[in-house]
Amino acid sequence: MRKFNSRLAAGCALALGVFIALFIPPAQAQKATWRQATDAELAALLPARAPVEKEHIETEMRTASGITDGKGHFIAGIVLITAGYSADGKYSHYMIVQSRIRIGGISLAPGEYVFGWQREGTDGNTLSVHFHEALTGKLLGMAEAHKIAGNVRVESLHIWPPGDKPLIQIGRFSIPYELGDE
Amino acid sequence: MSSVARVRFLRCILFLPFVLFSGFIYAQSGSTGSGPGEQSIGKPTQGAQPAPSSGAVTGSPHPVQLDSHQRPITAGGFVSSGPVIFEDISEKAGITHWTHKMGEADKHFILETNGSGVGLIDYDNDGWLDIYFVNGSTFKALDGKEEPPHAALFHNNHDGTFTDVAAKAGVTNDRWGFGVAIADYDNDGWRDIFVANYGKNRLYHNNHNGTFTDLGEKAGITLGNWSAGATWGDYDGDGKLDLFVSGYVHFDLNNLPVSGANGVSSAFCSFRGEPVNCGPHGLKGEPDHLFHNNGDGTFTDVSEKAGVADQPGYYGLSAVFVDINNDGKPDLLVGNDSTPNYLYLNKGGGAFEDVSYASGYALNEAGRETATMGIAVGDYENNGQLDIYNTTFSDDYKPLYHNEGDANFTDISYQMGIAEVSVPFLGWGDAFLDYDNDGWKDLLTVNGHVYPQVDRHPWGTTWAQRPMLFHNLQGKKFETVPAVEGTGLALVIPARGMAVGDLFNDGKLDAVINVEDEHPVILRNVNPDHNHWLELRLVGGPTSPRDAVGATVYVTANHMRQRTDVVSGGSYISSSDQRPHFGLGEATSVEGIEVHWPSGKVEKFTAPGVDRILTLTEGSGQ
Repeated sequence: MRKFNSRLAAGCALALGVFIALFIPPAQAQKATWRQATDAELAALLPARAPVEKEHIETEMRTASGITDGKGHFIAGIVLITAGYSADGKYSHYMIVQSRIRIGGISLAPGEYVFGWQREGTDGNTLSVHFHEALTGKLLGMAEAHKIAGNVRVESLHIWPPGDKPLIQIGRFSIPYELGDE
Repeated sequence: MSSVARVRFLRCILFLPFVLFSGFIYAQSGSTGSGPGEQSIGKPTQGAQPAPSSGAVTGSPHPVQLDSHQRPITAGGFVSSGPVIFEDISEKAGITHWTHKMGEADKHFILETNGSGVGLIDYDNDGWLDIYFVNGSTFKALDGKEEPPHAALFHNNHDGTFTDVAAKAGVTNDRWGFGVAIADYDNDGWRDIFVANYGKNRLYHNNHNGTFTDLGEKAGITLGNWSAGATWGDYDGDGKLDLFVSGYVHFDLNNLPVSGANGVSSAFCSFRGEPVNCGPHGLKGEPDHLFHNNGDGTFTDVSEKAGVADQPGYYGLSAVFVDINNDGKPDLLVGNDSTPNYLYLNKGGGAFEDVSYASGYALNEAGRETATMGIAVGDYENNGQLDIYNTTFSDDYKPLYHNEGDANFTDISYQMGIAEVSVPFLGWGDAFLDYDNDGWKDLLTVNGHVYPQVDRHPWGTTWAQRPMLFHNLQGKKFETVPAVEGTGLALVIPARGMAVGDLFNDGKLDAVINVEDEHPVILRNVNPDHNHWLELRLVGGPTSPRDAVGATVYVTANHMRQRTDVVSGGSYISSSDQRPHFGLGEATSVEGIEVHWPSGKVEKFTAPGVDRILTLTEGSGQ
């Protein structure tokens, strides 16, 4: 009986493995591994002064947010202190990407980026977010961030884990993202 | 050479190479991090870098707005004709011989930049508002090398003029003054004055004979470094007003903040690449304090216990106790410079809950920390919910936080049409006030930059700036009221504190402005409307503060229910008229008055007519 049970268990495990291999897409499996990065991890990863073009701009560590796959890869961002004040300037945030990500249609390879935003339209419901290479300022593309419905907590930046909701939240706006290769 | 003089010299030496070689440094500096497409594992390299100069790359994307005379819009944009709302009567009123003084004109230090507040107080109980202007100081005065500037207490002569009686009244302060909060903290029927200073604070107790005595030491509220704003409120419902004092920067005279020295990064000493005074970023924040009123002339610091001690050390400026979620208990708003704002909900039992982020008030809607200077609180929609308008820095819009109920706020400045126009201005004092008595609360801000250097650059902003007035279109939108040449709205001044009130008991709300390094200004409301009005002087009962600070009043007229609250504090570290004012439009009668007293008692009153000031005493209503 015991032998039969162990065979049954082994068979079930094999079947489950085959099922997962066949029917669960790799991206789904990957999502499950990504989690919110801790404050300590972010503090170790993100610079106090971010290299942006030819400057090194102070960052506000309390605004740091990111996710990690637990294997040393992070996608994290932080607010830049522009002019010491809250001007919605050319760049507002700095990002470190260590695993390919597509944010609102813009594919980012591992590297360092900055983004800023402009308001779009007059209804106040959309931000046009422009992504750049941090070191050169080269424009990589634009993505739309839309107002999140309802009363949500306001955030300087929140990169939500993909298993929770694959969103990058800026204030009360958000942009969807996808992890993995194109 | 004094320490300040030495530092000024050192600062010049330090900045000279910065100015001369900044372009060279920009050109020579190389990239130190890894590029796109490369795996970045550790922190980007931070060594061997050029002096950071935040702002050069990240300058405002907003186009410079010039008027037809090529003046920046902050000091221009006037129209030659139109409705005259405010008249500058400062000269006629006799207040221009007094001058505010805040350090030196070059503003080498942040201590010299933030200006002072103004408080409206009927100190002699004659039924007319008097004016208390806080003054700053100088480093020489701190060193005892020159006479310190004096604060002013202008007695209202009931004929449109005022007389400075500060010396006789004993309220000249003679310390480096910032904020003021007016309240009758000992429930004796006479209003007192709290002054927030760099150095020890003052608590001027009203002696009932035109004089005051500073009881700050005995009260235990003096602190000692940089206190900025203050607000009175009975947070624990014991009928005695408690005191909240916001702390700004910890400013050490023996370790002055200069660029690249004393631990201060030069990044925090420049604006758009131009060297300016350092801070507040990069400087240590001064904590906030809540003092519980023991009822015997002493206070106990309960900041930690109550949960409002400002552990992160944000740069606190304005503060106001007001019931933001309609539960009958005063909540606490703190406007922080360049750091998240605080909204503390009063949970009862002497405790507050920090809901700053959850409520949406911590940041603007795009998630940016703002340089909050002033806080205006008012129900602009006449729906019984208090909304909040904050003034902030130039290159930034000024957020209007719409109250969605249950302590949720949504920044709707852009939707209301008042965001973009405010961007070039650096705002300070602000208030919701129904200037035309149409029953809808309008919005007034006064403005001025912190850096004199802005006048040397084509940045579209100026040291001295004009006020801005937004007319409320029945709670649906605000429209900018044009600045007519020669009127109060076209007055270009480096404004700081502002208080609003009915100085002349004529039912029209005036604005009183403390101006940095200049004489103060009274903008008399001369709007040519014939709308009716009602003002209320509230007297609290034995279990409420006597001056009724914390009361909420609803007045119904024209089938419209308006709300006004009695507060002490707010605007930019100032204290406005505590008599709730209601514009009634064409209504010649009031349908009802409902007072929610701080004690929790709710009473209804009737008004025998309009266009008058009524005294309502707790316990005498229905």
